[in-house]
Amino acid sequence: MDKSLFRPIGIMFMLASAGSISAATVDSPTLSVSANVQGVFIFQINGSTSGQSFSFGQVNAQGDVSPTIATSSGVTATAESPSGGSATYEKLSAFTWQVVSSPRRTVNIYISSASRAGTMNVGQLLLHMTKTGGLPGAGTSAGYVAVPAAPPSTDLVGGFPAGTGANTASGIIDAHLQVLDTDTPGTNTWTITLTANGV
Amino acid sequence: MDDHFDRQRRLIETAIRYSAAAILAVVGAPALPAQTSVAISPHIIEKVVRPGQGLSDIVSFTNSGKEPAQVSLELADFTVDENGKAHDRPPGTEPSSLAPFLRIAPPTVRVAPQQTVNFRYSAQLPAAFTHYRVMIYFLVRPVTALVANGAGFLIVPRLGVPLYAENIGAKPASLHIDSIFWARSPEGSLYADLQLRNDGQRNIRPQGLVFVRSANGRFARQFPFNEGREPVLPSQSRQWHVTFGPVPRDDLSVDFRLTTSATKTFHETYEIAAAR
Repeated sequence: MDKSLFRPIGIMFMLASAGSISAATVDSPTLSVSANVQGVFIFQINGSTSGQSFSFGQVNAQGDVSPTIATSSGVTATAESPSGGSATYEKLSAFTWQVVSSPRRTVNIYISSASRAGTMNVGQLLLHMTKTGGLPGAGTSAGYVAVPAAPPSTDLVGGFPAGTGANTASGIIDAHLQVLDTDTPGTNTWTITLTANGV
Repeated sequence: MDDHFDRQRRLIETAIRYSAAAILAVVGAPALPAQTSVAISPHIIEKVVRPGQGLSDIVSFTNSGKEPAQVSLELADFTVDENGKAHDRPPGTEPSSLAPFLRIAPPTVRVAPQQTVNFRYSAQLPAAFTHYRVMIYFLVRPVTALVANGAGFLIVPRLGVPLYAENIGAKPASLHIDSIFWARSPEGSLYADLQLRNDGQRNIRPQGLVFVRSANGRFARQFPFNEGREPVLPSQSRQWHVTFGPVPRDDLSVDFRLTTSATKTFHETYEIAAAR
């Protein structure tokens, strides 16, 4: 046995055991091939109330906020016209996000698809994604964008370099819900696919 | 003898699997795991193959979040416009699509927290081709529905890995700089407007340096160009609008170097007059 083989393997195991992640590995039941693992791309989303979801609670066109939701989730509601009806619900920093890339690369984050399910016909959900430190040549965000009822994709933030350590890209996602006087209260959930990639 | 090589192979494969976790641990793992945290490795795949040859390898997916996830694969063709923005297309619709030749498995798998899954891909390429590409997407759904009461939304992360396959016999990438313009921006930086095209049949990720010096010698600073390693695809024209700075208002000398092929570097010096 060539003992020099163990040196790089030993270093890899040391690296693997040195960090805070211990990963179990599962192989797909297909062919065995030579592998070439290099570089890594990490996308993290942290919800203010749970990992991947956020609830405004029960909403209506009067801008009422469920006391439980308002207290625990920090939703701000504004009744635009108390007698007549429409309202906005806003949650700042509903999510935080992070992108880590090694080696450094240019990354885009966009809504690639969205779907809606439920009984309530709600006007519009808008998202606002900002990047700490700003985006190249375009302020800190692309502004509020309406969650599309169907593709095509919609940019949230894009064209920023992401690296590791101090060069990790991060920011927040604000959410804004408009409830019109024609909307019917009930349950409604959007599923939003947020794509992060580069070329 | 077979056992000897088999042991060696298994050791190497095990080391490769753990290396993805090692990279995660070294470069980006937070002290506390995020609620939703997914990672892929490698994040860009560029394969050079001989005509008629196949390619095969793995992409590792790690769920370093707190919840189990259902991971599904999707493919997309993509184009890149003059400003570097990528546009997805249905798989198999672009002439450069690798999708018809690519096999990848498993198509969907449940990944537990702190688990890594290796997705294996292979492609048998035709004898006559120069450059194929496809985006492999990893769609990460929660195993259970999370929003139940009232109005809310669920975010489903999706990570893209571009896979490029290029013929070793294809004409190597060669950048031609059509124009370059330097000016001062109102914010006190230098502004570069660069137009170039790739005359080759293979990708290039041009690396550059901008070295700015003031005439009085008090300022000297180096800025990277294309630090995000964006590619210029075969036959593609590309524009870059970049700012470097801040820089002083004095007379400046700008030394610009840019790799234009595997063996050549563009090098020019520009004089920028003092700001009025």
